[in-house]
Amino acid sequence: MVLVFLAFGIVGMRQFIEVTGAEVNSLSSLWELCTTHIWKGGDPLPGQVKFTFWHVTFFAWFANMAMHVGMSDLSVLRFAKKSWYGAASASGMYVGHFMAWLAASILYALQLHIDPANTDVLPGPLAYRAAGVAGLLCVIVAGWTTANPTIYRAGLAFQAIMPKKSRFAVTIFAGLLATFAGMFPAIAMRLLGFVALYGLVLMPMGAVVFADFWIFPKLELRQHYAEHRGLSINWAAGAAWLVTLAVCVALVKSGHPAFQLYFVALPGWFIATGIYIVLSKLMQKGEA
Amino acid sequence: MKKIAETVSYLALALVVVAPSLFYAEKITLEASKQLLLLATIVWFASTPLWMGRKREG
Repeated sequence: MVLVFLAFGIVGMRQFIEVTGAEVNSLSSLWELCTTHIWKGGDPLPGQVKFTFWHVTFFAWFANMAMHVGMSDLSVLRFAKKSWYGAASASGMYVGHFMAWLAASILYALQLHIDPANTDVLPGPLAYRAAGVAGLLCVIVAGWTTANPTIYRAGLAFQAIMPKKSRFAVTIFAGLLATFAGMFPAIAMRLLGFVALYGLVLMPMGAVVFADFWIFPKLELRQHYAEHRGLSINWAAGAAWLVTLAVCVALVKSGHPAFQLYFVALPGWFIATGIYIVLSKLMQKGEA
Repeated sequence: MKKIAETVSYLALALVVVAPSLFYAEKITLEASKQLLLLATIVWFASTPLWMGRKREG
């Protein structure tokens, strides 16, 4: 799959050279082609935020924030036989979000270069034009491998709400619900904002899990405090979650360019970690 | 047998990069590149389950 992404980029680059008639015989001439024809900037589509370099950088790392920073990955990685299997998340993000996006942007820029009126963002036709049936298979497999663990996680979440239902039934239900929702362009075309939003919602919990597991032993704080005390709710975690979300929403609502939805997760993570540590220290004061 | 399947898998992977590279170098057409990519994909999916995730012989 990774190599097919690379193939998209190589084919797209060759086609760009052909349609522009550019002479590419050195790195500098390749760079010139890139800056003048492929990644030349421009106005965003109506209703969409203009993506800068920083948007792409942040979004590449935080697009699947719910899974990686929000720790949803643990639903699958709990089965890992070795700790370094966690590196799969990082490598997947780097290859999937940097290399694949670069290749996809070359193909999309080529489509716009050939027909500026054709602004359709359709991965299937783009992949098919560059790599034929193998390209189509790659798109389907890429979607399938991303969707599988996510539907599994959603099934686990539904099962937590309805423990008497079988995991098979709730996972099928989650898959059908997501498939049905995906049929509506109004939802599918809002994917970027939606992904950023639900990542933001889960991010504070990821910070809580991280602090509890890695930082608490160093600060001599008790891990799994609610379980230890038999509490039904850990208010330090609850407050860290709610306060962080409130602060992040306020920052986004402020309209400051530095606090767009795509950026607030980074300061938000530190806010959540800080609140959880401070409140836990207060809660555990006087305890051995 | 597994060693052969593993070698064939890696050759198929190499072909996924070689085919578009040949197109880039104007040695083959885009259609030929697409056909080679499909061939490489089929060979990869056919040969890889024979060795990946299985214990080594001997």
